[in-house]
Order: sequence, then structure tokens, then C-alpha cells
Amino acid sequence: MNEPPSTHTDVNRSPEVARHTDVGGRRDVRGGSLHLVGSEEELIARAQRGDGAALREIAEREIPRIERLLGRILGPRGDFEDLVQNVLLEMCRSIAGFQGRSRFSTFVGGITVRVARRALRPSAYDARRAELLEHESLEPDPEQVSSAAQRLALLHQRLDRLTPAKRIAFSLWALDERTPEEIAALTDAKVHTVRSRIFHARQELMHDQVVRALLGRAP
Amino acid sequence: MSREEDELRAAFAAIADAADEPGRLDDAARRRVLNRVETIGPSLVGEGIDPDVIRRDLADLADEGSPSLGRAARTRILAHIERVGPSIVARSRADETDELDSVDLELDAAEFDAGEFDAGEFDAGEFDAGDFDAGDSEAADLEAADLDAADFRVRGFDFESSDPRVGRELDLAELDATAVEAMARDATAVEAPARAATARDATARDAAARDATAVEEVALDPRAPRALRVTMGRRVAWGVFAVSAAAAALLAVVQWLGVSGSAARLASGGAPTPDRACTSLPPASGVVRDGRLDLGVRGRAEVEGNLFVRADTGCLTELVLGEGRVRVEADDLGGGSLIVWAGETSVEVWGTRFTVLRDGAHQEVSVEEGHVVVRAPEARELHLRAGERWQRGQVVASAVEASAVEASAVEASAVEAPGGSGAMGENEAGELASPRLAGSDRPRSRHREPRDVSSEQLAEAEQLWRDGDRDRARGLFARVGRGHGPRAAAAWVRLARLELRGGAPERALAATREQGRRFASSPLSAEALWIEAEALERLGRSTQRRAALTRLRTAFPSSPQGLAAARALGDVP
Repeated sequence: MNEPPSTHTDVNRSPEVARHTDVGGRRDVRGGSLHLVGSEEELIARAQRGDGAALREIAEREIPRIERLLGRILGPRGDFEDLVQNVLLEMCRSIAGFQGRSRFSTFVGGITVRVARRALRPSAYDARRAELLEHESLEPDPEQVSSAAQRLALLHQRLDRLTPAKRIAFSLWALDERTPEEIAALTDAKVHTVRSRIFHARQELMHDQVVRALLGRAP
Repeated sequence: MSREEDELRAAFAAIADAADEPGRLDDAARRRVLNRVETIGPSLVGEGIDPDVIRRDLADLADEGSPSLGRAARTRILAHIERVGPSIVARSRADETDELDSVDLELDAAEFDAGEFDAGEFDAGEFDAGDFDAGDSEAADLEAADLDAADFRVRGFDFESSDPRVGRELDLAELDATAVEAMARDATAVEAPARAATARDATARDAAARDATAVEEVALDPRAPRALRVTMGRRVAWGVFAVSAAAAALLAVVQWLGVSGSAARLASGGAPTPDRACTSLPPASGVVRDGRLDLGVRGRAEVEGNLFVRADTGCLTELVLGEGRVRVEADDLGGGSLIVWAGETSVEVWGTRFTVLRDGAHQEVSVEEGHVVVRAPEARELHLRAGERWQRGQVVASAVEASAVEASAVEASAVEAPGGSGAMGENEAGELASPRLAGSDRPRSRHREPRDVSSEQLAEAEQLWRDGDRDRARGLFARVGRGHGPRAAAAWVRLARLELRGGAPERALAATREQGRRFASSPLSAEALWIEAEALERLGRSTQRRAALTRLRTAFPSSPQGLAAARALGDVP
């Protein structure tokens, strides 16, 4: 996945991603991490004044990160495009209040997590979740799904059974390889709480035969 | 792995197993123990699978199969953000700084009265509303002379003017607190530092004064043939509080209009700025409350509530609805643009008659004649034509979904409507089956067609079905359903219907489940739930059928399906 130009390492990217990002073609590596050398501050200031071009440029930079984060938390969904757009609209609503106390990508990451959390909570979704539990027998056999997309879709079906908080924590930890500290920053939760959520999510999932089969560890 | 490690693993595993034993520990204690085990020996829980291994395998899986936007979708989103983003930012800034209400704008009568108003300097933050009675004073008490050299400072909102003509603006604007709020919302969208700087600038001040005069002349002169005339419905008594707030806000608006064209564009946000030749109107602004607004060659508007008029360029006229309802009759736009704002929603007029309603967060547009384009931050453009209505809310997208599948779903579902095909007429069945059921009052919008899934594919699948080629139709529906957009959601509903008609209720259930999983918030979920109830009935699962009908009735109570579900629930044994 292409990553946008960015200005610094932060909790909103995996280390692998951060290593390959730069600022408008320039990279400034100091002590192994990237620092603000570009005009991101200026860009944000312009966006805060309501400059459409600046907002577009920021959106262009952030979309890959948003895609990645939403994809990891929610998996493939029919309303994926709408969700990405919602994140950016929320960013527009909130950008005036951004004071630079955190990194901008963390700021957008927090918004993304909030949008994902909302997407996990509509009543129709809850009804469907109950349905999934009811009709378990109709789900495809994990042994018979071969493509990565199918396997991932199946995994997210199983993740649907977790509560949103546990699902988000687990998805960020397992699928996006973030540390509990990073997840705590994104979800505005305590590190201990995040660890607990991950632990219990893992416990639940490891008792799930479908997940075990997906991991090649069917009993 | 060494023997010591093995032993340790076994010991930790034994602890974890013991703690996990049902009934051995209460839940809190169990969690504490397992957490501790997790901290010390993370690889020992989780049924023997190392968490790092789990993590690695799942991350690999996610890397391979994660969704991403197509180029077209990305372009669409970026264009949308560029268009509506500025207005959202401007309004969020206004919301943050807008303190012009009866609570925050606290006045202290001891420090401020009409007599002290000239050359007075007051800071809203220092005033005490408790000491001020609006009945103490009226607008009539404040004459133009009172406002000479007034220096207003309302929560960081600075404006200075020594021109007495500026003060006379108060005669024009018979504002009330709500109107003030609406105006201030626009005024405060201007960036504070730029505002302060320009306010101190003598040239800018002169420009502001000139514009103030222009506004006044245009607004008040009934003889001006193309003037924007503000005809007030009634005269409102005024307190010093309201007047001072109004003065500050209005003067700032005037200044803003005069010296900051870019700021005006900022506040108007995503509104299209006409770049074509037009029949120009003089610059004007003002507030209408419960009155009739003459828009010159553009048309006219009837206002119930309050409306701020802004015509800062010759070709663009904007009506900002603070609260209430405005009915617009636009005859000839003369190449210019007329836009009605209701909160973050804009309605661009294309020669038409329509009504916009704003009641707090509730916004509604209904079109009598012609054509308007509605833009809301959370939705794409909606083209509304005569007889169509739009309401802002969580279901904005439903209009899209409805239009996308309207024809096909009605046709097919009519046959298997509740009660059987013989139990109701075709029209009734069709209405029942229509996907716009998720709210019977939802609009039928001619929204831009989604691009992710082509209409041809869905039509082809329908045709295959009609031709009796169920296998290919099934495959094509499933393929379309794996795409994005409303047609994809419709494909699963159609596939479910196909399977149900084909005597495969289990498959129909799988299709409705897929629709729900992929498009949980789609309004088509009502139809999917109905099909599901039918399938469950055929399978003899009466309990599950009742549960499905109950969900349908609860989630979509006003939809035809929801009503049918309510009826059917009475029949369920």
C-alpha cells in the first residue's frame, strides 16, 4: 500500500511504514527517527483557516493511513468509502481545534478509531451480529476458503463477536502490529485497559475453532 | 527449548488452566490471575499458541487482504473534501468562538448604558447578565450618534469605527438574539488576527464604512429597481444587550464583507463561486425575520424565522437560514447563483420553487418546481426535482440506495410481498417491496449514480434471471454484491429473492446475512429482513422468524416492511 508523504514517526504508523516515508521527497533522519522538516505546520495552519486546497492535500496524505487503520479494524466492508470520507469530514470539523500537542497523524488516527467504533455500533449491526451467532452453521468452512481476502473476511466475521472495544484493541495489536501504548494513545484508554482487552479478545478468539483453523491450528 | 523452559511453561499453563476452571474463581479473581500469567508468561495462555505467532500470522493475513479505495473513489472523496471542507472548518471555528448568546454575552448595566455608549468600550466578558434587563432600553434609544466611535469588543471580536453612518446600520437590522447568533456565526468565521489587523487599518475602516453605506442604501431604498430590499415583517423591541451584540456582529459582518472578500469565500465554503457572466446585483446584506425578501431579478423569498442575506459579489446571493423556514421562488437567476444555507447544508438553486426548513439540527428541503442541488457535509450531492424532499440525518445515503435499486426491487419483490401475491394488489406489494421503505417519507433522489458497481452488471443479472438462467444470474449477483455502493447492497437482496423463489431458503438466508454483514446500515436491510423472515417461515423456524419480524418492526417501524411485520406478528402462532 502506498503511504503518503509525512513528516515524522508517530503512533499512527507501523515502524515498517515509518521507515519508508518522507516529506515531499525530503527525508531528515535524526537518531533513527524522522522529524518535522516540511511545511506540514503551514499546511495545517492553512487548513485551519479553511483553505480547500490545503484540506485536500492533507486528505491526500492521510487517506492511506486512514485506509490502513479502518481496514485493520473493520475489514472489508461495503461502506468502506463512506467511512474514509467520514473520517476526513470529522477531521475538517476538528482541525480548527488541533493545537499541535500531539502529532497530526495521531490526531487523525484518533478520529479514525472513533469513526470505526461508531461503525461497529449501529443498531442494524447489532441485530446482524446476533444473526451471525444464530446462523453459525451457514458460515463457510475455513478449510475451504483459500484466498487471503476470503480468509480475512472470515476472520472479521469472527471478530464481529467481540465487543467493539476489544475488537479495536485486538485488531490494532494483532493486525496492525501496534504496541499497547500506541493503542492506548489512539483509543484514549489506559495501557493496562488495552492490555486487558487484548488478552481477553485473544482468549475468546483462541477458543474459536474457526479462528484456530484460520491460523492452521485446528484441533 | 530447554527443559527449564518447558517446566516453567507447564507450571504457568497449569496456573492458567486452574484459574480458568469454571466455578473455581469469581470472574474478577480469574481475570487478575490470568492477567498476571499473561504478563509473566505471555506464550503460555491462549491454548498454547504463542501470541507473537498469532500476531504475525494475522498481520500477514491483513497485509494481503486489506481493503483500499480505488482511484475513482479516492478522487471523489478528495474533491468532496476540497469542496465542503472549507465550509465545515469555517463553521466549526464559528461554533467555537460564537459566544453571542444570552448566557455568554453578559452585560453589566452599571458599566454600560445608552448614555455611555458613545466612545464606550465594553468587554462582553466583564458584563453581568443578571444586572441587565432587556426591558430597560429599546432600539429606539440608541440612535446613530450614540454609536459614534464606538469600540466593540465581544469575546475577542474587535471592531472600531468612527463613522457615524456605520451606526445607522442598526436601523436596518431589527435583529433578535437568534438572528444575531446566525450573523455572528458567519462573522466569526473570519480569522481573528486578520480581523484585528484589518480593523485597525484606516483604509480598511473606510472601506467598511463605504460598504456599510452601500448596504444601507441598497437595503432600504425601495425605489432601487434591482436592489436587494429587506422588508421587515414586524418591529421588535430591543434591549441594550441585544442591540450591542447585534451592532458588534453586524458591524463586523459589514467590515468583513468590505475588507475581506476571501474571508467571505471562506465562510461560504464549498459554495460554487460563479465564474460566468451574470446580471449583477449590488453588494448587500441584512437580516429578515418573518418577512418577505425581494431578491430583485433573482426572485423572492418568504421567511418564517430569521434569515441572513449575503450578496457580497454581484453574482452570488446567499441566504443563511438561522432558524425556521424559507420558501424561495427563483424566476431568473440571470446567470448568477442563489444558494440557501441551513447549517452545513447548502441548497443551490437552479430556477425553481422550493422550501428549506431548519429546526436546530433538523434540516429539510422540499422542491415544488424545478431543480435544486443539496450538499451536506456527510453526503454527496443530491439533485432534487419537483415533488422530492430531503431531510438531513443519519439516513442521507438512503436516498442513494433507494434510487439505485428502486426499479428492480419493486418489480421482483411485488410477487412475494407479505401475505402472498394474491393477498394484495400489485401496487400495494410494490410499495411494500420498495427499498425506500426504511422510512416511508424518505426522498426519492436522483443521486449521482455510484461508479463502483455498474448498473449494467445489475441489469444483466436481472435479465439473466428473467431469462431463466439462474446459475449465471446467481453468480453475477454475487459478483456485483462483492463490490461497493448501493447496487452491491441491492444485489444481495436480489440474490436472496432469487434463491427464495428458487426454493432454496437456506441460500436466501445466506444472501441476506451477507447483505447485512457488508451493508449493515443500508436501508435495504428492511427488505433483507423481510426476505429472511419469509425464508425462515419456509424452513419452519417460527421462533427465528418471529425474532426477524420483531427486529424488522423495531428497526424500520414506518417502512412498509415494518408495518407488514407488525401485521404478521399478530398472525404468528
